[in-house]
Formats: sequence, structure tokens, C-alpha cells
Amino acid sequence: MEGPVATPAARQSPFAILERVSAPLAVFACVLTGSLVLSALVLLPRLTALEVEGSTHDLPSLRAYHMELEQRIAEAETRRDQLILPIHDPLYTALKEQKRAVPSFLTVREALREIAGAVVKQNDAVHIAHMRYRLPERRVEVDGDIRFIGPRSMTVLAQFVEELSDMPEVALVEPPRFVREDDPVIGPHSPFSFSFILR
Amino acid sequence: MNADPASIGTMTIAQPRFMRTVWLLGVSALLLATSAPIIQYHVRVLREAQEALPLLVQIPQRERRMKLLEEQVEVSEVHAATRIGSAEERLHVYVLPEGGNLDRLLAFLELFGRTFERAGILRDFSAVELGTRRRENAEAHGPLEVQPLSLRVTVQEEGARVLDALVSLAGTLTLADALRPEELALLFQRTEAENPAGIVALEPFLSTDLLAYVGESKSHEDRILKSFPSEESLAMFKSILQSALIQNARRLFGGELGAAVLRENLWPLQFLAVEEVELSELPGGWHRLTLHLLAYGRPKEA
Repeated sequence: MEGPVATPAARQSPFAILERVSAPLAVFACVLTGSLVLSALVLLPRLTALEVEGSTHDLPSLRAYHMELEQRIAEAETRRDQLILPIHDPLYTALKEQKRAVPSFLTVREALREIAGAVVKQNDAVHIAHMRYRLPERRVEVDGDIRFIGPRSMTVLAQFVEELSDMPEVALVEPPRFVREDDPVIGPHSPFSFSFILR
Repeated sequence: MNADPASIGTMTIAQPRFMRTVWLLGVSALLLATSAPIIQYHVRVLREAQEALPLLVQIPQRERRMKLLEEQVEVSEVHAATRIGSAEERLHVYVLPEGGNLDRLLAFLELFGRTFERAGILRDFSAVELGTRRRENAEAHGPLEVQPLSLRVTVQEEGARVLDALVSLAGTLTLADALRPEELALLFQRTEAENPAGIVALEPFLSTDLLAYVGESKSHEDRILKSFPSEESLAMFKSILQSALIQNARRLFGGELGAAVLRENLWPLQFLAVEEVELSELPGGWHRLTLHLLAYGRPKEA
């Protein structure tokens, strides 16, 4: 009696594999491309329609409309200012802005006093004898001395100059010479003379 | 020798199958290649829609603001037609005068010195020294004349403050001039938020002469607050009217000097700016102050 007949194994050539997948692949590609085209033509426009006040826009036209609105708003604000504000002389406006752009001498002096108060609690320890402020160059020259605190005068001077340098309004400090002298009246003190420039 | 019929049949069947396979694979490749840009198109459109979302929120707000501004402009145009007098005329005559006549300014400085000497906050007010007048050409705004002048005075602390106030105010004409641009913007925003038609009440308020305002602050404030009665408006106006220049105006003109300046027709002051200040400490709380100022005007037209 013969045993079961052995079926010879089918040889899968590459072409045979391709032949098998070609039809399903073609169907898949058709369905995918067809769906994408349908989505692009029908679904996307409906889902992403940008409607403003009843009319539809795309992004570039929406941006253009937004810019146009901003421009019209700016023009309306300018026109309103012209009608409401009493003076529009450009020279006067420029002179006012120039004047306001620079801090007054009192403001600068107050700032120096505040720094002095922060550095040392002793009243008049940071003694500013003379101040010269040139507004066009925003340059301030300060002369004085650190007194009434004994041998710490140079340390306090250094702290004062450092605090001044750290102020955001100060662009540059030309530091002083650090010396300590003895005065028969006020005792040990550190005279200083330096300048700084405001932003 | 004849070909094997079986192999001939195989070849005949195989050829159409081969062509079909190739054709199907070719079409698949073409369709898949086509779908790539369509997918890219989807990504782009969805990204644009996402970017457009903030605009969809902003645009209606901007449109409402646009409409409100147009209404305010319309109302203001009608109101402007009925307005009389012009601060700009006073500007050209007194604040930036033509021709370099300093009589009013010098008269004011003398009055200032006398008033505050009597008050005991300054002394040794020197004569005013005049420098050489020069002409400057401001690119955007045309020619102007600059007159340097210097004065020296010994002051107490309050004297230094009134001198600072004087320089800051010299050339300021109306309440609008005394307010910073951001303060003016706040006022306009308040009209839009609370009462757009109230813009017409804002115009006479901002045009109020600064000296007149110092003399009768309450009545001017009460008048404007009628158009903006809310608590927020009250708080905003109170805050704005405490601005530095308005405080300086009260300090300088709130007393004897204000009345004298009006009586002698020395207001408004010519535009002054500080070029240089020197401040030296003296005993007893006094300071020696040297001020180098610039008085501005326009060259006389030929």
C-alpha cells in the first residue's frame, strides 16, 4: 500500500508574490487616493471654513482683513486725537518728548540719596557736597566724601559706587579713587569725585 | 523539432498575467505617489485653520472697536465745528514765540524770585545772564531759535523743588500737555469702555488751561465726572490728576504766584529746558543752585 502522496511544495517566485499582492495593493491605493480626494474637495472645506460676519475667508485673506482693520483703527485713533487734543504742533510735541525723556536734577539727586540710605544707615555718612548734571550728555559729576563711619569709609564708598552701577538707569560709572584721609573736624573720611552717565 | 505545447500554453497564459501585474503595480504606485501631496495639502489646511483661530476671536473685537471709534470721530467732528478759540494760537504767541523777545520770561523770573524770597525758601537770586542766541534746524519740524540763559540762586529744599517745578512746567499750556501719552491713552480707553459719546466732554477738559485748572480744580473735575460717573472712572481720574506735572503746577501756582502771574499776564510761560545744573551744599540746609537753561522760540519769518 502506498503512503500518502507527498505534494511537491509550490515554488514562490518573487513574481508570484507580486502577482498576488498587485490587485489588493491597487484596490488599497484606489480607495486611499479616492478618499483623500473626496476629503480635500468636500470634507476639508466644510470643516475648516473661516467665516467672519457671514462671509468665508481663507487664512491669507483673513490676515489681510485683520491688518486692514488695524490700519483703520490706527487712522480713526489719530483722527480722534486731532479732534480732541488741543495742540498738534509737531515741534512742540518733539520738544516736550525731549524734555520728558531726561530725568530732572531733583530726580537724580533723590536717587543718589536713596542709594546712600540703602548703603549705610548713618545720616549724612554719604555726604554729596557738589553735583553737576549735564542733561544733553546725561552726565552727572558728583563730589563729596564718606564720613562719620570711621575706617569703613572706603568700603562704604565702594558699596555706594557698586549700588549706583547696578541701577538700570545708569549706563556707566567712572569709578573714583579710593583713599582715606584724616580730617581734624570730621575724622577719618574718604573724599570722592566721580561721574556717571544715565541711559 | 516542435515546441512543447504545454510550454507554449504556459507562455501564452503568463504574458497577459505579467502585463496585468505590471499594470496593477504601476497604477498602485502612481496612486500612492498622488496621495502624498494630497496628505500634505490636508496638513497645511489644518495648520492654517489652527493659526486662524486667534484671528477669528480678535476680528470681531476689532470690528466692534472700529465701529466705536468711527462713532466717536463722527461725534467729535460735529463738536469741533462749534469750538471757539485755539490753544495753538497761544502756543505760537507765548510758548514758542517768534523773534526772540524775552521780556515776558524775564518778568516772570523776576516775579518768581520775589515771591519765593518772601516765602523764605530762596535768596540771592542773581540777575539772568543771556548767552548767544542760536538757530537750530530740527529735521522733521523746521527751524527753531534757542536762547541760552543762566541764573544762580541759593535755595532751601523747597526752593529747589519749586525751581524744578518751574522748569518742568515752562511751556506747558493745557491739561493735555501736562499728561503723559500713556495717561491720555487711559482716558480714551475709559471713554470707549464707559461712555463713547462722553468723548465730547473730554475735549474741553483736556483743553483746560493748566493755570485755570489749578485755580478751580474741583469744578473742572466735577464737570468731567458727570460724563463718567462710575467708581472706576473716578479712581482713574484721581490717579491721572496726581501726575507729576500737575502736582508741580499746584506747588508752583497754587499760592501767591498763580494770582500774580494771571494779574500781570505772564502765563503761559515760554518753553524752557535745562541744559546744565550745578548744586552745591551750604550750611544750614541751603544749596547754591546754578541753572543753565535754554529758551525756545521760532525765528521771525522774513
